[in-house]
Amino acid sequence: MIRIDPLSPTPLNEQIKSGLRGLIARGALKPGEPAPTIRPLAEALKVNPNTVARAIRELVLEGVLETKRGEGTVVAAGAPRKASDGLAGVRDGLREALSQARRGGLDWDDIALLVRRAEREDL
Amino acid sequence: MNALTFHDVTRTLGGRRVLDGASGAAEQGKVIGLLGRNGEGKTTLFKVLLDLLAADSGEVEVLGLRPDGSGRIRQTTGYIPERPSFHSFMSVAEVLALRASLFHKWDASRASALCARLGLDPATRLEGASKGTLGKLAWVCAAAHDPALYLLDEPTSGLDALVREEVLSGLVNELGEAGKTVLVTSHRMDELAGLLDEVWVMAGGRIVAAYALDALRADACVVGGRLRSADAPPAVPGAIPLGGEGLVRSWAVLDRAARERLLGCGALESPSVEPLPLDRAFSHLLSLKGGELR
Repeated sequence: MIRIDPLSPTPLNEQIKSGLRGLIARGALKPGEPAPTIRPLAEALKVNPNTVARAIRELVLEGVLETKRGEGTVVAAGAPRKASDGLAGVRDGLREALSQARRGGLDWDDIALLVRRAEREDL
Repeated sequence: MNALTFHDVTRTLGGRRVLDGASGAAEQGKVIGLLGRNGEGKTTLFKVLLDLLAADSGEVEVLGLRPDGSGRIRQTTGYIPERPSFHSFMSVAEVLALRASLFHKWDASRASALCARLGLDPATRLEGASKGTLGKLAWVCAAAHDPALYLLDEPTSGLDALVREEVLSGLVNELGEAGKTVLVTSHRMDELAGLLDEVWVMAGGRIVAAYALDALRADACVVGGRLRSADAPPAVPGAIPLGGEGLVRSWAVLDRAARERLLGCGALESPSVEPLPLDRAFSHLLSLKGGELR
């Protein structure tokens, strides 16, 4: 299942979307399988069902999920690639952050320390 | 459409103006967290909104009804009082039967379903019952008549983590039904952060600030920097001084306009902006007195 941090500055629907994309990219949710339904997911995450509904609606618009007659919302055929494209964006962002850190005077040991701290805090 | 509005409401209790010109409006379907320290008037505001206590002056309208002492507002509202109390000689089933006779729209099958969901056995006697049992019963009593508006005063206080979890899930489940409006107080706003559309801050008997939660989430930040001169640091409306050392100072800022004012005032050299997590933003809001913001 996915995790969110209700106190983080990242909007909740974005957190839910990246959580679901992550499930698809890892293959925990496969094309054609039903997407999580709004109420149980909202209850599990303790978020407003409207927020979950919005996240799912946006993923449908992005083609990661699709609405099928009689089957409700399912994972779209091309979703794993789309979800991984999202990850490519994350990788680029991380590369950029690393090169910024190097330009800013951090050496690789400092950076490794930051990574280990982030890992401990399980961001 | 507004589910509730109140304007310039005052109420004196024991010689103290507990409500001192409180105004606010809740749009239908919104979930609003009412933030405030003990004794700032939250519970009294709830009682006035429920028509359990008359205001000395001011306007109140709840679900299209005005308080008139008739109990009509109470009938349409789901209320969890700060300290739920039940007759200790009764069982859960007896309390529910009593409530059923008091509430015109009581739905016995809904009450049973809520009990089953929470794992509350109707045969439980209330004498010596745990806080968890009373907390679950308070939720069933608040929700069984399928109210369009919930007023929840510390609904999870004193409950252990598992019961809190169940009560919160019950609330989330209610929100799935369109158009329900919720006004909730809690000393644990962090656990409600995923549910709220707005937070209102109550201090000194009035609503002193209100934020859309999405905006607060995105805009709350800590601005730090080095003062250009050793003169008094700038007093910028909406910027809460966090102190600092020497010329290096920081402020908590909760909305975009205040951030722009602080960054634009020219007093700071090489300012930095870092996001402020919601729980810390809530703590700053709790420390507000009237008139400090905007």
